[in-house]
Amino acid sequence: MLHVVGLAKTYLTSQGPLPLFSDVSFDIQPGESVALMGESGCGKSTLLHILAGLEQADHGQVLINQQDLTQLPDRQRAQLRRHYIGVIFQQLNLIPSLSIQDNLAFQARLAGNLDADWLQHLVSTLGLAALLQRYPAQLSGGQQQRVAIGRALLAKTPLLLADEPTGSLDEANAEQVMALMLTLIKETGSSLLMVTHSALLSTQLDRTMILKQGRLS
Amino acid sequence: MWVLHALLSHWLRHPVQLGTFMLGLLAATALWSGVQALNQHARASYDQAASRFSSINQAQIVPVNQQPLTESDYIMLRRLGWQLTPVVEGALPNISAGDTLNIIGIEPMTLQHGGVSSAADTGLPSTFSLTRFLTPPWEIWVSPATAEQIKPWFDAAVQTGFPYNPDGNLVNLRVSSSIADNEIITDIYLAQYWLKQPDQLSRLLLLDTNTSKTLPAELSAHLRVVIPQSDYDISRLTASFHLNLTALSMLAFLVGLLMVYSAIHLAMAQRAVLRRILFSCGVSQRALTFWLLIELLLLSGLITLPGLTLGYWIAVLLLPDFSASLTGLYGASALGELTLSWQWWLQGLVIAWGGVLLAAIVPMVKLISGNTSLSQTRSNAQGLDHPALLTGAGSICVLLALGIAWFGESLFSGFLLLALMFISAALLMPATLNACLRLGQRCSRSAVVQWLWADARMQVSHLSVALVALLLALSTSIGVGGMVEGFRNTFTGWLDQRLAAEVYLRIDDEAQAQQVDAWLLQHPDVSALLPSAGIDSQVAGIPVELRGIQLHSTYSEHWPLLSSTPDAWQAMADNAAVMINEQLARQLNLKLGDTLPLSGMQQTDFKISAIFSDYGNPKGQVLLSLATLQRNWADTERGSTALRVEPTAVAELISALTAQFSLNETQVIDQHAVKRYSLQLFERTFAATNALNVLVLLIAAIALFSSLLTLSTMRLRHLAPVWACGLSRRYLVGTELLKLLSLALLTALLAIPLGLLISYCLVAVINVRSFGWALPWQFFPSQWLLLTMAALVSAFLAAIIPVLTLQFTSPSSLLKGFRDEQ
Repeated sequence: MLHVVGLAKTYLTSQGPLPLFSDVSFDIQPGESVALMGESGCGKSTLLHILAGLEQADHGQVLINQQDLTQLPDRQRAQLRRHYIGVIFQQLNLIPSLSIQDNLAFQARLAGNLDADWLQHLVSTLGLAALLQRYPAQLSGGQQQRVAIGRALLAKTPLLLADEPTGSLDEANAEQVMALMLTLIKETGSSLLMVTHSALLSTQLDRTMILKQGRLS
Repeated sequence: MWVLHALLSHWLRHPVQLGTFMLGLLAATALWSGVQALNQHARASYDQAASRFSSINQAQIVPVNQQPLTESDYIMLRRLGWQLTPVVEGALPNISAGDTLNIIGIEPMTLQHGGVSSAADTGLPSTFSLTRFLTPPWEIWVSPATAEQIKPWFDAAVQTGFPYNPDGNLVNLRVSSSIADNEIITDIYLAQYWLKQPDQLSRLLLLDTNTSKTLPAELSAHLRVVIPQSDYDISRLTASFHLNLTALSMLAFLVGLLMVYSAIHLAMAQRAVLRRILFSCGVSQRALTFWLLIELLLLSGLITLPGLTLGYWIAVLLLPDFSASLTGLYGASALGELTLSWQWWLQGLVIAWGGVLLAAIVPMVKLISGNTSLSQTRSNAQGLDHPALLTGAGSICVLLALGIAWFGESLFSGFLLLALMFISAALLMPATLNACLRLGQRCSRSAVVQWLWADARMQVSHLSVALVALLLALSTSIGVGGMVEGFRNTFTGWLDQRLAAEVYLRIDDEAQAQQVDAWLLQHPDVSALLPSAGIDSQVAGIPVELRGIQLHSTYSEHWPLLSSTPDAWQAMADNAAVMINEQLARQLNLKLGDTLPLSGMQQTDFKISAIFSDYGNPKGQVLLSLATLQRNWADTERGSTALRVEPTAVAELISALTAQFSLNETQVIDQHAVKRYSLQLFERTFAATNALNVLVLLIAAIALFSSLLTLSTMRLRHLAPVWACGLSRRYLVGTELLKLLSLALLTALLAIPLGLLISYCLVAVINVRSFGWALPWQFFPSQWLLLTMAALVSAFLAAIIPVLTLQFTSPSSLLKGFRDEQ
């Protein structure tokens, strides 16, 4: 599903170049779930953003569906993201001006693959039925994350990239959201790469990668 | 002090907000104080003129029946106990074309002894010396501008006439800024000498308040006591002119204040965390309030001085046109150099501080009471804060406006109606925009288009203040522009009709006038000689001018009649009817067919056969046939004579006339010159209005720009999820631009009906109550198109920097911004 080869990224700072990581290579198979761990500031989120086509790498390849994301112009990267990648951030995932119903359906409608039955199923499973007419600002953090997961899954993208999706939630909420996400991912057969600090969460996934001192292990 | 330091540090971290605050306050203070400087200066000039020699505010004795007023008449009246002071005045002869210099000769001894005026009241400064003024070589007092104008005359080789005294010596030139431009004040003896009017006086000012005395029989044949008429009070006549400018400057102040509010609102909202920290560190609510007030006073104090200075320069720039308007429209003295009182500075300071406090009060109370937070401010997906409250208040204002439109009759109520229209539009506009956008969202099917509408709705809540400023500026431009353009069209057409004759003659000397008439009747190129005469009278206690004209097809074919009976001109020729101007018709509620009682005439009842437009005339006028006027009234004064001349022979005739009878260009007037002068005067009259209009638009554009710049740092939060869902950055940039242009377009579309209402209010309400005549309500779609384009260009320029930032910022920086947001 995802083939990453020799990825490198360096930030230019006022103190000089700051290498984040180099020669990062790995694969994620269809349906596989992978945890990405590492210390704060080691470049996990940057790596995830590069994989999502939101940021450019200095070197290397990111192959999704046989297309090298790093070689595509902005417009085609956006097209690829729309059809193949679901992104879930730690917070502020939702479009504040749209209702929850419209937020849920947004990416699926962009990709032209909105499935009404699947929407009903997700709404009911994620417990969002009573919230559909509300707006993001009227929801709690846990409710917002459930909507973000629902949006990413509704588009049925083969790859989900999640950047600490439960990082801003309390323990009970985090467990509930995580459980729902993993159940639904199994139903869709999507692959998952999740940045997390939690060793407990990582044990629920198929495998764990650790980014340390610019190298992946 | 540390609290103040913490509060001020916010502005250093948010320079755009600080810039918006300062620019808004600078613009508001400058425009308000600039116009107030002009108004204050004009009022001071009127007061000075009124206390001095005004021919319209002072009871006086004037000559009639072409008989001179002599020094002997004056002496006789003094001996009879009349408290008088003589004035000699006239235009200085032989000056270059286009210039006018009026010599005013006074007799300061009687002025002072009269107890009414002092030397200072005459416009002469405290350094004025009676001895130097009255004794050789004498002195003249002028304004600084006039001093510059007449300096070359002091170097002239010919040592006779002005500025040489009868002894052949130069008079002393004295300058005072309190003297109006184009006026030369001197001793009465010198004035008589330069005007070549030995022993003659122009008028006698009555210094005592008892004006009921009757003139002795031997003087009553050629002198008349004129009692001041309130209708000719310059301050009253010009009140609407000043009120109009004040209203415009108030609008500019309001638009500037909206910018200030916008900056303060955001600054207060972003300080929610700081407030919590300060409270946790032991700062009380009262202390926080105190330091917030100190901070605002400090910041506004820093801006007020530059704002007032800018206001002063705006006033200096507008002064020439302003002065020309007042002189041309109302005959008010030209204003000299701009001088400002300490009250003006104080007023500017108070208005700036008052404005800032007014703009800050709600955001400040919200911050102190903990009723606001950045997330609340940012997240109103319904698009507006307190929509019901705004709509309710706006609706109440609409009802009040309707009530005033129905019941109000005064000029003040007219301006109140305008103010309520602006306020209700400002209150209702965000809700109206919101409703339009919601409708668009409901009607669209595509996910992206729906998001576009929804996001635009959310932006309205952040941009509403700037959009309201744009709405007010655009609607004012449409309203005022429509009124001015309509007036220009009407006025130009009216001038063409009213000035149908090719040449106009004005000769006061009856003997010379008769010689000229005889000469003209023999001239082959003159096809008609149309004399006129006039006399001041009263109708129902209202001063009017009775004007007699010799009936001719020139009038019946061209005279601008608003309404008339079928046989209007014939009825006038038959001595059965008169025509009246619109001002008089409105004032006395007279209609066609009504009978007009004219006192003092043998024949007293005349039917009204027509009502004619008479723009710019502050007075009621009754038009009747010359024969009727002269038959009924012996004291008529010869007015101008219209000449119908072969158009190709006009120039030749004028030069022949001037050569033959030593006439000057104020006596022989080419129709084109009058039209040119009138149109120039028209343009200058509205120059200040137009300048203010443009400045208001400019401030609104800056308000929009600064709001967008401030918001651009917050937009990532709205755009990042859409970007992550698969829309490219270039696409997002395009949608940002499209949204802002759409908002500007919607605002412009809303401004058109509002502008038309304002235009209607100006031509049909304000104008009628100010001047007594109405203008046709005309539409100028090309003007709307131009202003809509201006709104779009303003929005484009305002949006371009934030949009380019989004386009060219590297993805990593954008993501960093997004991470910072998180």
